[in-house]
Amino acid sequence: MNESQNINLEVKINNKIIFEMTDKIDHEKLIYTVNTIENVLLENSVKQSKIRSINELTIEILQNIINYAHTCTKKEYTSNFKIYYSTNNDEYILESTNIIAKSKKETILERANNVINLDKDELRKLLREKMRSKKDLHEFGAGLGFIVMARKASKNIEVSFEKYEADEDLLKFNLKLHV
Amino acid sequence: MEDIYLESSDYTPRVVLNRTDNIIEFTGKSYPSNTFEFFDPIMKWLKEYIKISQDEVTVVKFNLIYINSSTNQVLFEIFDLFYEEKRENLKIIFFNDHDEDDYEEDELFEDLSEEFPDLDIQLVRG
Repeated sequence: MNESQNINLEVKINNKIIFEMTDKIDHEKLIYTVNTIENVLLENSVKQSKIRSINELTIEILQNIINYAHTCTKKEYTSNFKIYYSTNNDEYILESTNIIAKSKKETILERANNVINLDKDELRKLLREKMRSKKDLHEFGAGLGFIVMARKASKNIEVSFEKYEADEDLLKFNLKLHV
Repeated sequence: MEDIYLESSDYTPRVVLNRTDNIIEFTGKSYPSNTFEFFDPIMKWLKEYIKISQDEVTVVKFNLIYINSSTNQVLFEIFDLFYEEKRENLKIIFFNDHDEDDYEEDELFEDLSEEFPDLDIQLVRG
């Protein structure tokens, strides 16, 4: 798979940008991003368990963006991925926006709705059911991303869709996670 | 049956599949761009190994960080393989290197030990 999109990546702590990158997102850039976020958070004395959650969520989000880039014909679009931390709420927020084929909306909504409002035990049960049934297995992965995200997130996953210019076949997909 | 040794990378684990000493180890990060492709030869090795080593004690060690959801699926399948073969002489150990004051539930260990209660699975911290 050689498809890729441009992506703008940003890490902010207390409104100060501490990491920013705009580039083609592919697996090499994903690795670079994970390593950079790890170093930035370690320098800021963030606990290992928190870094692990943030980076595992980052991997899921960026691998999804790379996978969905394959379905999208607009290569000039720049996706966005931001991580920011505020001392007021003592939480990290991960936000992404990328373009998807409109035909993927129902699948994404169904998977997101399946995990919203489930508690940790229900999510664990659902994950085990999905892994056993392999129902959502696809070409690029196990289809477990939303369940894994919901387990690591401290609040409900937020998903929304927006029109993408006048293109009827594409949508902007927004994802927000708290950790 | 040949042993397999894969060095770790920034995104793939160090893998030791040692038939001679009956040691299986996965250490490091695991988020390959195609996880199933990466683990395919490992699954094949394990399927063969588990059938020919029934009477021997095997130690399986996991010390993983930053795994993607597809790796989660693959690990489930590895455990399912162990479970189906009803290997009583299999010792599975998870390592968690986090500091004691940085406690976090080890989700992978909890999930797999609950799903496969008849397997001997331990968690070692620190």
